[in-house]
Amino acid sequence: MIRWALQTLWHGRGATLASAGGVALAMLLVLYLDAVFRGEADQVVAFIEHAPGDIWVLQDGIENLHMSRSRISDQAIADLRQALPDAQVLPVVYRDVLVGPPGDQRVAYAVGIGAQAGVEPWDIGHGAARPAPGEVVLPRPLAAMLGLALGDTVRIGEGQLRIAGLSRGTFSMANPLIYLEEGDARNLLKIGDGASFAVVTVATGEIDAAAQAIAAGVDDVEIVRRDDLIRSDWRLALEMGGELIRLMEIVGFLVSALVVCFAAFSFVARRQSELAVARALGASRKDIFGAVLVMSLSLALTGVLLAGLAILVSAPLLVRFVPQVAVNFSLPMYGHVGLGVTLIALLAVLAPARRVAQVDPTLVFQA
Amino acid sequence: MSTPSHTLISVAELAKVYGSGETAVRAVDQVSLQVNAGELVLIKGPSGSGKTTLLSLIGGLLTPSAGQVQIEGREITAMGERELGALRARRIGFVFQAYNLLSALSVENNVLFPARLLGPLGAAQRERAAQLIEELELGHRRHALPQALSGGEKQRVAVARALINDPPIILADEPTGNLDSQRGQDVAMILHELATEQGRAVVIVTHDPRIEDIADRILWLEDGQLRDRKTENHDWARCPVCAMRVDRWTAVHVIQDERGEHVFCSARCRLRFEAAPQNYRAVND
Repeated sequence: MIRWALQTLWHGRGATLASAGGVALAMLLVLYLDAVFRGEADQVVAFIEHAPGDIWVLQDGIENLHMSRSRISDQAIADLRQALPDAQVLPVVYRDVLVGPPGDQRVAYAVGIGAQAGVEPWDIGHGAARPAPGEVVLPRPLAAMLGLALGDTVRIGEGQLRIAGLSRGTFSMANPLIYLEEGDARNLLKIGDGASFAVVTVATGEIDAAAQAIAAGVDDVEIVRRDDLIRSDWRLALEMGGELIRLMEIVGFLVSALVVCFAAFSFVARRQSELAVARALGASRKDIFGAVLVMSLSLALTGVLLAGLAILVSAPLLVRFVPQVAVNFSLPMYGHVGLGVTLIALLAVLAPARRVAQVDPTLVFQA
Repeated sequence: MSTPSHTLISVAELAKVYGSGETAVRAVDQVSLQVNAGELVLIKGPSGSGKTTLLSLIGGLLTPSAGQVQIEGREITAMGERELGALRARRIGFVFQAYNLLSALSVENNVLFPARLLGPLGAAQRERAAQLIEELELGHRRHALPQALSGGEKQRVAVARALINDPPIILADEPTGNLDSQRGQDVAMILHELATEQGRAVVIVTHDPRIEDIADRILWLEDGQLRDRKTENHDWARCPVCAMRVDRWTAVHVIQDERGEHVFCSARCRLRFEAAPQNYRAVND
């Protein structure tokens, strides 16, 4: 019966592929949404990952870089240097700002580049990595969205700056990074003194001791280890899409369930006479349930495979032709959704259960 | 295979009633019969007389309202669905008017289908399938799908399928009903050989008068009950090879030689005759 089920399923290749395609599309809906949010989350923490430092010192009560504003005073920076005389302390000016002409403005995070190296763009496509006064480095996709090229001027907050460089890997829909000379940044972002936060680099194995020294010597600051900050910002970015992902997951599973159930049901309905022949020749109802189960599972697994293939083909194309969208497909998520679809296929056999139970072997006598 | 004359099918006071009360229909009513090994029994009767219902009851496809059906001495009316299925697969071969081949399976896999119901295939079953396919002149169609076969080929595949598990009983419902004269006689001959040469009990429900002459017994079913059979007129001749009665009006295979006219039931018999005509005497009916 298993052989018959498989051969019958693939005898009508068009209908089978259409059904499997429906399952694959439902899966892709879930997987792409998840991948987009994961890609966004990866980009949100890209700045922290590429910056130096073991400890990030932020305004008291601020534990995230994403979707928050931090400010620490000059006094705090001085106390920090005093508490950790052997450590490298890098104060960073960093704040959200509107980029582009009125009516076509995008929110970006501006990074002030001072004399001290450490937080420059890590991958420059064209032009300079360190902007001079009056200059800005934009992510290439952001420049493209604004219709700007190297050498053009762009409105940043209330100023006009010349585009001196186009960076790569610094763009996300929620968190594009632009780089300004520190003086320009302070001026345009209205940060007079102090910094947004400080990045502290200590000797290997001294992170705990350094954190304790900062806590003892610097008032009104939040001390966050680099890995904790990455984790926290990543989770925050992903959670912003969490509800939507869960909703689409439910929609995706429902669509998959409908497709597989419909396929199982129509398989039984269309093959009623052949199922009757099988029953007349000696197959039991259990055998027929087994055949429908094999058919449902094959369909679901084909859908899972098609979804995997579609991702392998479409993801590089998406990265190439839609660079503003960052995607990160997760193998565990693929496994999770694939398993869900497989379980749905197991349950789908219940859809035509009544019809299977009612297969009448005497149909074989109908000429 | 059971020895000839051993009773393979025994039906006692069998009844099947559809509906209840005033609308009840007695499709089969107090039917009793026995079919022995090596015997070919025809069940004839007008449409709606209960022939197919009787065949379904004998084959365990329907549960009777009353009475008993014994297959090789085993009462089947009380058997569970699984046991009955296994009995059908092992002990009964079915041949249907509409052939009922599985459209996605090749000739070979259709033939092997009932064998697969009994468990994984062994070399012996594959060998038997190959042998049946050859014997029924389907060797060149082994990998073909049913849609590519002629009616006669389809019915021969159905016969091979019915024989794959070597059942002692063959139940055939209008096996020649969808076939032209020549193909019909071919299939009738095959069924005849299954009974006479292989010792199987063959029960055929049919309207086809060509099969009458190969039958050991003809039962007439009317209003669900077995009655005296009715006769019909034909211009009959006898096939010199198998002695089957052939209607001259519909015969396709006719040879004229110095001994006179020879009317054959099928191409198979004509070929046998042509290979060694001295072995057969002219038969004039």
